[in-house]
Amino acid sequence: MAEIVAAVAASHTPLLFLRHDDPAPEVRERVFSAYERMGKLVADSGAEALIVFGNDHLHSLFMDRHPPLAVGVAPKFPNVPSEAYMPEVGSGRAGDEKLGLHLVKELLAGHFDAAMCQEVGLDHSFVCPIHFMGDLPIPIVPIYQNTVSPPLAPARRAYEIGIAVRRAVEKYDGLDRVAVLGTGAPSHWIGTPGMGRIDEEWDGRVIDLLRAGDAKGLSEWSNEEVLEGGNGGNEIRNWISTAAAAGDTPADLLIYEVEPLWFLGVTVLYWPAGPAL
Amino acid sequence: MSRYLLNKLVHEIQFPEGRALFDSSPEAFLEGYDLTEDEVAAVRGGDVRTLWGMGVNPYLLRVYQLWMKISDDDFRAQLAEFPYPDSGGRGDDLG
Repeated sequence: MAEIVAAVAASHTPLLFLRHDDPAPEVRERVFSAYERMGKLVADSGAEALIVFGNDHLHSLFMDRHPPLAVGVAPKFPNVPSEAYMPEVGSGRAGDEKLGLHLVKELLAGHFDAAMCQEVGLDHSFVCPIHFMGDLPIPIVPIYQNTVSPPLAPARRAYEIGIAVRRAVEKYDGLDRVAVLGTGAPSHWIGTPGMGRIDEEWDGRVIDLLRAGDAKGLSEWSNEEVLEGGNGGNEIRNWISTAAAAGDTPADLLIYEVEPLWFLGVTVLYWPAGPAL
Repeated sequence: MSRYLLNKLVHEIQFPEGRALFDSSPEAFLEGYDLTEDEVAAVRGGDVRTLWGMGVNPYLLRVYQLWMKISDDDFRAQLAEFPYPDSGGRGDDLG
């Protein structure tokens, strides 16, 4: 049976591509080396597949039928054509459709109505952190949590989904070693008044809870409290799921770098895998 | 027009086919969306203030901004009259 061998989380933004070279050299060095360290942690774990808790930003999933929770089940995931302003990101990623199908079945058995998406694209939520992790030739299973088109599920649900995914992995006999990545967050405001704002106090409260091994406490925040971190703050659901999948162990903070040009306190986190919750 | 249809319209402009049609023949692109003249002018003219006021999802508005080559400063200036910071937590109602 498979086990979770590494769990990581990182911010995402198209600005890491569009304004890649704009911040000071030392900022770029610190941030991109943190993404590379994250990639090395996953590579060194011997993971054979990477489950990614992410969120599409209305590129591949739209309001006509927006699932609160969906799993990509395909051998290949193309990048979305609507973000072609990021030309460097390549042409997509290989998917592990057997693991994806297993996750859908187990989520359904565990009372989570996960939509199965057999043709779905990757936007910067997935592309950005994976790209900057460096060479990582393992297939992915993208899990889409709706963080962009209200009404949104409460953060508590993200915690429970993380636990359910951990249980599903441990019932999977197709692989031995699986890693988990949560993408997005912390606070940011995109496409809104005050776009570019960064709330370091809110970020600190989120990160402190995760470093204390208390994603459960974070998951008890109301939707209104989560939204105080901006529409991008909604993405902490992906971190919460990742932490829960890791066993809610204390996270190591690899970087928190406030960079106004990137509209973020860019964050990278690592959880050592602990016992299942 | 409904908030949903307006979001759908902006969503379509993200994609190469939609944008090509929007650029080459905006009348044809906008046909079927039942827009008022003011709404047509807002969509064609990069009027993010009006589009925000009409309830376009912030992520769609951001991509629209990028494709329309509106600067961040101009974007923020256009939205300056709206509550700060409005987190874009809209859509819990139908508009």
